[in-house]
Amino acid sequence: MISRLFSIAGNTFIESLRRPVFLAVLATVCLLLALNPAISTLTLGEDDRLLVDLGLSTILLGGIFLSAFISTGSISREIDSKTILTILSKPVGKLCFIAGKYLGVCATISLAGWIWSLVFLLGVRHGAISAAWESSDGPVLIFGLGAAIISVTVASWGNYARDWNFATSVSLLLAALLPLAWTLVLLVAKDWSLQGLQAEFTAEEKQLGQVLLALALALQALWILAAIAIACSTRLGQLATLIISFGAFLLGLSSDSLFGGPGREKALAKIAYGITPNLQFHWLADALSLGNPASGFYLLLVSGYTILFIGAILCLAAALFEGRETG
Amino acid sequence: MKPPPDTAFVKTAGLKKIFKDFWLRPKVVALEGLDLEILPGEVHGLLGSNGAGKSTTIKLILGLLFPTSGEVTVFGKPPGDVETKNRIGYLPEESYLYGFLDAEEILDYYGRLFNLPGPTRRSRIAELLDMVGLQGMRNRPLAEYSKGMQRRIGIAQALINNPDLLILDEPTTGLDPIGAREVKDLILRLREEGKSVLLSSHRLADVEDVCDRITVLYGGCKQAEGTIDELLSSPESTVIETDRLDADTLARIEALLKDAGGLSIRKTESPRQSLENFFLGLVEKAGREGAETSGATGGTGVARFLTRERPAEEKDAPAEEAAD
Repeated sequence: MISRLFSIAGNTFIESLRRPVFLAVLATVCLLLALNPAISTLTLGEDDRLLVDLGLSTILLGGIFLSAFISTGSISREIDSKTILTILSKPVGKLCFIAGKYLGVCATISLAGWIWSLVFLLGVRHGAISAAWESSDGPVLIFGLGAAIISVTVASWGNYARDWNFATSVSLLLAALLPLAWTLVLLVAKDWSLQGLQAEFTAEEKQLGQVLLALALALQALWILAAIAIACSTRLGQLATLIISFGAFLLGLSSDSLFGGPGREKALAKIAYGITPNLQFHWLADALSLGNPASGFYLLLVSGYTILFIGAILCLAAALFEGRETG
Repeated sequence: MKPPPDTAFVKTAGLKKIFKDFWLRPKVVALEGLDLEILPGEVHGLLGSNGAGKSTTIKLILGLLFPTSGEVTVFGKPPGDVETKNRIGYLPEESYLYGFLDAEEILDYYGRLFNLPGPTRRSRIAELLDMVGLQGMRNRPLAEYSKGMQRRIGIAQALINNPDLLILDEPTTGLDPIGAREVKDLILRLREEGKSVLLSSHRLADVEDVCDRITVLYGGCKQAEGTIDELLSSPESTVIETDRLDADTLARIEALLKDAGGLSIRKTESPRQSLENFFLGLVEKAGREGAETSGATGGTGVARFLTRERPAEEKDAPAEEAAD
């Protein structure tokens, strides 16, 4: 079953990467994140806080959009286009199919999240340009832009000469080159002097460790939303799934205020609180701006919550799909 | 020819399927009490007009739909049994394929779903692409394929696991005459190899050419079942085919028939070559003369792994199933 699971996941991953919407969302969010240091100058004295806030929000919203386009149709599209007939007539169980689709969608969202996070981290290192006399961060521009230019050039050549799919190759190249660019940026200070890898992590004003933690948790929130979209997609069309997914996102961000207020002891509120994903666990931007650092233990706790919630949603998805006719 | 009940690859008893609307009210009776048996090594045709219940029957056999009542067993197990599907190949009524993949990728994907080892997958893909005449287009996305070329890939994917039971829903739809002829040759060859084929088709000539037994459906009910000979033979008349006869000889035969019991010749004709044979001859000639085409070429015969001549290493190659 494992190899079938990964085959379905791999196929879903390739399909998602080759859809034009993936490249469109990927590029738009990358551009917004690249402009983040310039946009963050619009506040007085809170530039770096806004830089992190804006970056995390952009990544979360970009992920929601990507998830909306990819996850919501992943199963209903297979049913509508009837490609599912050729899959389920082979030795593939419905549970395996659901889990494979979910893994493929998560892999796509994670790849995009990985690329966005690195662009965001390059922006964090660059910092907001708060005064006209401040110069740009040369290593960030050279290494970051270098990675982007090499990726686009090689992918274009591959598309022209070897029939490579442009979106797939540029994404994979960015995923491989941006970490290299970020590592180089960590090693080279703004004035081009060499520094230790730990220098950026120990700089107090940057809170780099906390930013990484926040990125990991934001990615987990996207995985939860993808699971909800997959579960809905087993029974509903793309539009209905889209609406429910956005509803779950909004409820998830306001779960504490809606169900955890004065009436929290009521049974109905308890049930609603239990079945609604609490995405506030995954949103560290507020804690960061208030100077309340999260610990590694918190990451573990939330990761446990994420795994259990996703497990429950996928079980529900499997139950919903098991009784569905697919012919 | 009534088969012993335990040997049938597929058996349905009183199979009924009613499609319901949103309020669970019966909307369409697609199938009504169907009894069907598909034996090892037989080519069984399902004939019927649009909406007769052919595709519904196939989907019930594959477990893609659930019966309202009645029973289906496939290789003695319920149709939803996942492992049983290792022995089945299925071509849907249209080639529902992933347009973003190319021919090689999609066959590799389906091969993986059967847990075929890498070398087996690669050799089978090459043989199948040769067989369906698409070796030259193996790296083009399927979205760019014509309907007929997609059909050929659909046939290839149905055979990747070397199935014991091949279910073909309208296999010749969209195919050119060469492709249609090759599919019929393939079906006959698979029967020689002891495999069973369930063939659903509108094309009566296709069914007549290759099927051992047929079931005729109308309005979800079985109207007739039997061998082609049982259903189609006409014992009231005799056809003799010979070289062209002149008018004098015909008159003498007529007289002879009259003496033999008052019989007469009802019809004489000089048969002409069929359009299919004429067309295939022209295409073969063009191919021999090296004319180029950007489409599918004629296949190279049945893939070796589908026959008893298949390489020894493939006969012995275990599926990766055990590892799971």
